[in-house]
Amino acid sequence: MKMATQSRHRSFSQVAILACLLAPLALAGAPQDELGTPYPPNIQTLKIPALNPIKVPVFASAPKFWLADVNDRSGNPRPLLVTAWDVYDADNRKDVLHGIYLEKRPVAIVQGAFDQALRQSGLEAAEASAADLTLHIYLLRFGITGRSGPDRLVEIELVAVLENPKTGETREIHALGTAVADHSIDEVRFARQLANAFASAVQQALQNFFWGQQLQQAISGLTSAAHAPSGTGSPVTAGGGRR
Amino acid sequence: MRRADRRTIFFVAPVLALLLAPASGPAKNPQRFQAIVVTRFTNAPDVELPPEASDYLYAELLTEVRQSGLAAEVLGEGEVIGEGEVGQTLIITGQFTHFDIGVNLAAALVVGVKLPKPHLELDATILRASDHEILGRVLHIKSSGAIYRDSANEVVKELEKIDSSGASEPDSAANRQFAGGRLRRQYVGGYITAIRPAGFSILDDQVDVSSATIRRSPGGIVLTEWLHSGHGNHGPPLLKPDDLKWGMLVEAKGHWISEHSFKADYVAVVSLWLGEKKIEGEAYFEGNPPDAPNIASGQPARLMVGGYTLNISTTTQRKWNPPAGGSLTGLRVKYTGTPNEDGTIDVRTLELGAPPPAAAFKLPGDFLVTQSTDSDTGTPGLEITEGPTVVNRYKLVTDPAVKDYVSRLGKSLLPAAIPDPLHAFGIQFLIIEDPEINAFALSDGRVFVTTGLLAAVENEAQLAFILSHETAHVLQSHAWRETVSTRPDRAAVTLAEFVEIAAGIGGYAIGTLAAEWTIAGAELSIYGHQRRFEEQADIVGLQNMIEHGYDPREAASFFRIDMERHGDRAGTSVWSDHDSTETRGSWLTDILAWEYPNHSWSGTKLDSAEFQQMKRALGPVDIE
Repeated sequence: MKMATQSRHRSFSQVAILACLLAPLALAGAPQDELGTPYPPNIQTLKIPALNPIKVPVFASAPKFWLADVNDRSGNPRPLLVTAWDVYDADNRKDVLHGIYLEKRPVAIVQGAFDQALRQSGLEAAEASAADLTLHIYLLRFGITGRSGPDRLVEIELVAVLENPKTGETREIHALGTAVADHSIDEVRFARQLANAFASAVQQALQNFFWGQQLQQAISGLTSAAHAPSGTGSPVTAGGGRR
Repeated sequence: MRRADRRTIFFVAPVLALLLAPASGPAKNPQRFQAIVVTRFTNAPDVELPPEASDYLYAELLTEVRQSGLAAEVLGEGEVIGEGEVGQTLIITGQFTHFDIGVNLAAALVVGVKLPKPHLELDATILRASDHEILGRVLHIKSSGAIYRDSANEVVKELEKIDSSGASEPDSAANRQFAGGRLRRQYVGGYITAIRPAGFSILDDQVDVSSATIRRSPGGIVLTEWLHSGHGNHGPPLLKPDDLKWGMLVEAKGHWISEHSFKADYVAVVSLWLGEKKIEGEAYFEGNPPDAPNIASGQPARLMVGGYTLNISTTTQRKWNPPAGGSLTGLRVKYTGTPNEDGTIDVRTLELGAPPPAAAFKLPGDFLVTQSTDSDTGTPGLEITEGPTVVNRYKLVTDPAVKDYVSRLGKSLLPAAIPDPLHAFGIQFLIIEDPEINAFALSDGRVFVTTGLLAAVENEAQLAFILSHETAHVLQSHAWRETVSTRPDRAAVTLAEFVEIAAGIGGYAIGTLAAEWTIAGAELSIYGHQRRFEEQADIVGLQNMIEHGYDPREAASFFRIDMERHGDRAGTSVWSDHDSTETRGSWLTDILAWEYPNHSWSGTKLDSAEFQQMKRALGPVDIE
């Protein structure tokens, strides 16, 4: 009995150490993302958590924005599919695909985030005709764009075309948000981490847009004719910080 | 405590400690700075990185710096620093200096599996935002584990050394090393487009050969270097700088001094002179040549085929049995000859052959490429299927202002008569939403152009060259010739490899499309591979531009754009399927100067209002 106990202990500790030794191998062999494969069954749906309020700069010229449209130019033929991977049966034969999907289309997620930020900051025009500046958003990247070992890099890259509706003049503003989603073999946890990474990347992309020097220069350039400029449009930090 | 229990604790505790240890990350620090700005690191000139590297490190830096608690705010690239914040703000910047994919030795030894173990090196610099004074610098951060996170941690450790006044003295030794830079061996290759006092030019790049060893070596720089380093008793013949001439194909090894200035150590002359090549050609007629009756009756004639003008004399040996009263369109012509200084070819032998079979204009096996719609969102796409299985799909652009314009332009460039098998549906032009600067053609006549390419081309003439090049692949049956005629031994692996490639590469991940289609092209006969076919498509495309009134110099300009974006100046490896961008651009420049010496191209077409309208409709596009 005693021997058996010792044997079990030894066995457990050896297994544990072996597990630690092999863990990097298992991680390195994590499944490859296969976006192109056909219609993987949906095992998890990502519901992007509510974004923290995005503090928007106070611009001296206080322009009102109207978000006209959000266009997906990310090249993804299946905009809801985030990632998919093969699942193998006991005989190591390819069995089925597992897929993780977004609950909403990328354009809807980004539109919602912009709407929320503009509304909360009082920069949203009541209607299109009342806007000083019209926003056309083009999503260049939205999704997993790389990996390091098993972890995924989530990127949201967008170009906002800011238009003065009175003059038709436009300026382009690039913004980027990135986040890393740690891998987990627990699919629910992995999906949650991915959802958080998407939220974080969207949040960062919006912050990069609103606090970018490009926006400051674009507002200054586009509104200087329409408004008698009371300043350069230069933002000042309000309320002790951005977040 | 029993001995067994103690032993258990001895074994298990470290394991549990490892398993339960919190996620790696720097400990919280007292807040010292108002803000820290994180920027994306750049590449040292010859460092090839995974496409995501810069953004990945950027993401990890933002996370790790935020977690460090060193600053009240962590800002991304290009964000505004408030006026009151500048004095207390730091900027993190840096450069990737090395990357290799490596092999995980532990995995190889323990389980006999070759797994990658990437290795990354970078230099990071921490600047004071107010005056860009260097406050800290970490040179040669090396990481082989979680490469981006570990690197970000090292940068944060350096940040922690800097006090809030920013009074840290920079490491002067490190500064000197950084400022001096580290010379890295690099290559440049292509056709000499001009001779200069201390060397030569390849397009815009000036190569200084004043202290270089120059050798005649058809095997290129690798063979030259190998022989020169003592591995062979008899190296290839040495040449003097004066021996270098316009039109030679060369490779050089050395280092870049500035953006377009290269100091060479070795130069290999791969081919001596454009006009000294003995030419063996094979092409299909894209129309009925006007001199066809003269050729049939043994008279002198001029024949334009495959991008070259052939001089046929009474001494030309002919095997010429044309169909009675029929057109030569689609028939094959094979010839041997010698090029003249005026760019024409004196033909020694000439043979008329059969047209390619109908199978040459079909996709092999069970493969189909069909247009589709995503069931969830209605997004238009393109599906590659093998039997019932979809192996991959791409997003199509359906905006008429883009699609119809490209289609109109492409069709306007087609020859009046096209081979019979293509008559059923003609040649189609489709736009794929992808950032790669790329275009490719299927053997069934479908030509695909990426949005990255449409955004990158500067004018209609450049786009006309690309579309002419791709349709030349179709009309010259390059896929069929490659798969059936030139590489029958590889045909058997074609389909299996295509499935593997198409299924194994992740969907729309940036940058995979070109690789996929290029690799698949080699095996499935999706065009764009063997160098001689590329060369023929280039010269046919060039001639087609000229025939349609476009400025042919824009063909080389397109390669310049690609080169500026990707820095593709690699040597012209003789084993490569594609020449480098610089080689192709310089070859077209030399061909143009050779065939049309002193010709003025003023008054030729460059652009159009429709092209600019297409650009506006396309909107902002990612280009890679």
